[in-house]
Amino acid sequence: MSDPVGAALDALGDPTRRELYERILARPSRINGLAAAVTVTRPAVSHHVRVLKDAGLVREEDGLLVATVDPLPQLRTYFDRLWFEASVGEGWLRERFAVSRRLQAMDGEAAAPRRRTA
Amino acid sequence: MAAAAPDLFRALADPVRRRLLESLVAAPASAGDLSRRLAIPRVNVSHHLGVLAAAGLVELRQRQAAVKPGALLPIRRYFDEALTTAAITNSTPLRAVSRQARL
Repeated sequence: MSDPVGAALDALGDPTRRELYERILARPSRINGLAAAVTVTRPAVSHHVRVLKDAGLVREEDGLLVATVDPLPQLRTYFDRLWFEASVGEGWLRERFAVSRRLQAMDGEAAAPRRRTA
Repeated sequence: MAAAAPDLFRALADPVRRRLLESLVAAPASAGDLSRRLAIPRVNVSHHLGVLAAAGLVELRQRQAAVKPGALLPIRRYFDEALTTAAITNSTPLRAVSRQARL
């Protein structure tokens, strides 16, 4: 999947699909177990599970549906970045790098006399 | 799992709305700015901004749209908890237990 974050977010937009995902996440489950726990029909559950699998959020092992770890760090980072840019943004980054450049410059000034006296 | 508003997920489940959000975090912009910048018809931009605003992700003020950073935190926390939970359920001993129990 070229855009794992987009694929996962597209899949989780549907509330029934999200409920199924959260059930699988909390406990690896079989299709039959899921179908018994929710109000939608078994074919609908199968369809939603197929979409979750295609989105890379869920995989099947010996008939057991398991939530995949893989796209989750990227999803968290995606929202970290959006939040960061929206709240503090580039101004903070510029200031942060300006501080580290000033520290490097001070290091350079401190190191230079030592080299001369050595 | 942390309860994140259903509207939030629905609003984010669209590639155009995600592009608008990604563009808006850098700086607030008007629908016209966004339409030109992203080459999306203005009527679509207005519609999608409305959905983002209804979900509480964006604030519309004086024809400018701005992201509300706090609204991103519940969904960030959702995936944080999902990651923790997935890492636990993917650990071998628990999986073996689930398999034995034929869950």
